[in-house]
Amino acid sequence: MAASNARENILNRLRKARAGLPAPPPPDPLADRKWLERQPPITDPAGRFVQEQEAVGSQVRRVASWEALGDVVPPWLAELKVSSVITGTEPRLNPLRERLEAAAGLELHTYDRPIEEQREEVFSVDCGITTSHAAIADTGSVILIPSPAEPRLLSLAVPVHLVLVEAGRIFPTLLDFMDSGEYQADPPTNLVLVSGASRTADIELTLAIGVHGPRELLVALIG
Amino acid sequence: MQLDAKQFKRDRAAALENKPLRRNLERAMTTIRGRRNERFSQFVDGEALQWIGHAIKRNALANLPDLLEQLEEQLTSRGIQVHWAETTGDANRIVKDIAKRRGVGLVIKGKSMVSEEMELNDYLAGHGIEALEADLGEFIVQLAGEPPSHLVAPAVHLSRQEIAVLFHDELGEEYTEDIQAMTALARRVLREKFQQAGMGVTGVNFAVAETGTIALVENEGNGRMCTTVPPVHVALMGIEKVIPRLDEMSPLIRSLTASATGQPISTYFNWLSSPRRPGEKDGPEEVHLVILDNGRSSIYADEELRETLDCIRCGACLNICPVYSRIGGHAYSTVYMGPIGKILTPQLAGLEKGGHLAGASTLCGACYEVCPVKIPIPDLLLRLRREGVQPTPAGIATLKGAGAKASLGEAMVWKGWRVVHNRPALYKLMTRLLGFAGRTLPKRMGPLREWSATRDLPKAANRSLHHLLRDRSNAWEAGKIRSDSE
Ligand code: SF4
Repeated sequence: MAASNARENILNRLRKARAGLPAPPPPDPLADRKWLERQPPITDPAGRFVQEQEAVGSQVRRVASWEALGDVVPPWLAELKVSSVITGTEPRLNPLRERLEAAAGLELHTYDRPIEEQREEVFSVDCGITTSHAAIADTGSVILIPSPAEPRLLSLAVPVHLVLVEAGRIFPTLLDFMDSGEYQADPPTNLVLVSGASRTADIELTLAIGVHGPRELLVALIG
Repeated sequence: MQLDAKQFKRDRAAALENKPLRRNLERAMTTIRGRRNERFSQFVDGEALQWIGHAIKRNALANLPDLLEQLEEQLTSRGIQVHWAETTGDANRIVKDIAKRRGVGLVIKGKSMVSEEMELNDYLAGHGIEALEADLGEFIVQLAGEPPSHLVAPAVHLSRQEIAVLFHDELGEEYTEDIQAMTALARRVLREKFQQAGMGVTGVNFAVAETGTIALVENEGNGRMCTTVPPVHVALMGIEKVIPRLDEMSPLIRSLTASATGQPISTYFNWLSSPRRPGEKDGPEEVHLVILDNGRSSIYADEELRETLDCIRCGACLNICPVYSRIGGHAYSTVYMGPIGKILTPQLAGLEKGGHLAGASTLCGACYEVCPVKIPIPDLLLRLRREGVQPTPAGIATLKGAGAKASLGEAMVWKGWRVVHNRPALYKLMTRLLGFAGRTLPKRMGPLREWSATRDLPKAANRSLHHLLRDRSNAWEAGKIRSDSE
């Protein structure tokens, strides 16, 4: 009751206040596009993406194809002393999972039940591997859209997150991704742009890595 | 927090004498300004980006009631529950009622200035619910029992040594001044809490009406944790956060992070649009959005003052401000500090309580220069000063406490000033008297005492410029001096 009054009261006050005032001209919907066109051009989106990710401390390795992941990922994880890995049920990862399963000294987990049943497991694994929806060159961002096959915590609860990015899915700018309409068509529960490992500068503005999210972001750039 | 002019005067004087604070602030503000400037210098025409942000926010506010309704419709259609609160008391009750219904004993929080405005933590504590801050800076100031001193970097007034002592004393951990180690410690403590908490509370950076998206900008991952791990997520926002379209976030996020920290984008940029859907394995079962007015709709009614609501809370005006960067955030005794606090607080709290803040500015204009949405802060400060002594008719209906600072003495002085300046003979007499008085008036007494205690009183010349010029032109006419061009 009180809540619905609040709604009407607020909206009425705003409408009344607005009534007498002239509306400003609507902004140019292309203003940001025109501004971006004046910036130095992004000739090589993949190159720029790698450069921006490395600038914030991510490790990026280029991989020729999905099939080649099996040769690259297990030794990479071994270098980082990762001893347990978790993935979702994304079918494109099945060949890689077979190789991980066979790798010595590596425990393989699957996030395939609700978190309420798997909490301890998900929060104790060293590394989560996920695919990505797309990426953005000029900000060096990976776009994650978690799904039932690849839940949100796979990229969050783990100290190391390995994300697979297809070179053909790199948009030059965030605006290019927005203009594609992919998000607006059906907004997912959660989309997150990830640009590096979790960080803070809250003590003396000094960078510290790995506050609440992963301490290490690994990017395998495919193609 | 006590908000009054006398307290402010005492606190800022104390802050100016506080050497460690001055040292911490100076180092931090120099660094953070440098980061902002470096990023903007990489843009071709960074100022044009600021004007794009300005136009977007102006337009969004012009359509505010419709956008809020559209946002509500979009969110509701995907199962997010929307609540409207006229006052902070209403907002607190809404959050508490959700918590009680869900049997929540522990709330974990991401950074939210609106929750500071609500004093939510204290309110919940009064109802037996613990609220724990998860943003590292907020976690630190909460341990210290202080409010945040900066919009973006809440613990910027503290040195690593002070924080080290705090962690040692409050968390009972081994003493370390190593920043990475202290961060790891906070991570360990808060990891547990994320999993125990029955509710996550966060702020909102942008709410997109067309898609029904709640967007959250952060670097640490606490925002992601708060919106993913606990079974309930409650987002808090002021009515001014809504924008029409998704693609308007492109220039706004670029401008926000460039202004706040100099980053091209924040480490995480979260877009949330529904609770956990069938089949999804994590994420909150319930998501709520609380839309808070708390005086904003009154600010909205004044076309000029409305620009206050454009603010995207980047903190750049604090970092550049010659006053903030010397006294820090606490001396203001306000939730919102620095230049934006000086224009927002008097409007939210009323001029009788917060009007003195508008006076504490040199009007140097640096805040306007850096503001990513080009809020004319100096103009608004002048407007509020004027409203304090002489409310403009348009403002009467909207501004709480307009005219509260009007004093008979001040009014008389100005009246006298007008009379003198309208009568040449009187003016002449005045300037003569001033020249005389300047040499003979006691400086450490009377009305000049306060002002001259920390400043040198300018000496009034024996003869006014007016007199000197007249003598000069007389002499020139008499052929005693020649002008250079001849
Ligand atoms: S007023 Fe402008 S500069 Fe200051 S915090 Fe708000 S957006 Fe940033």
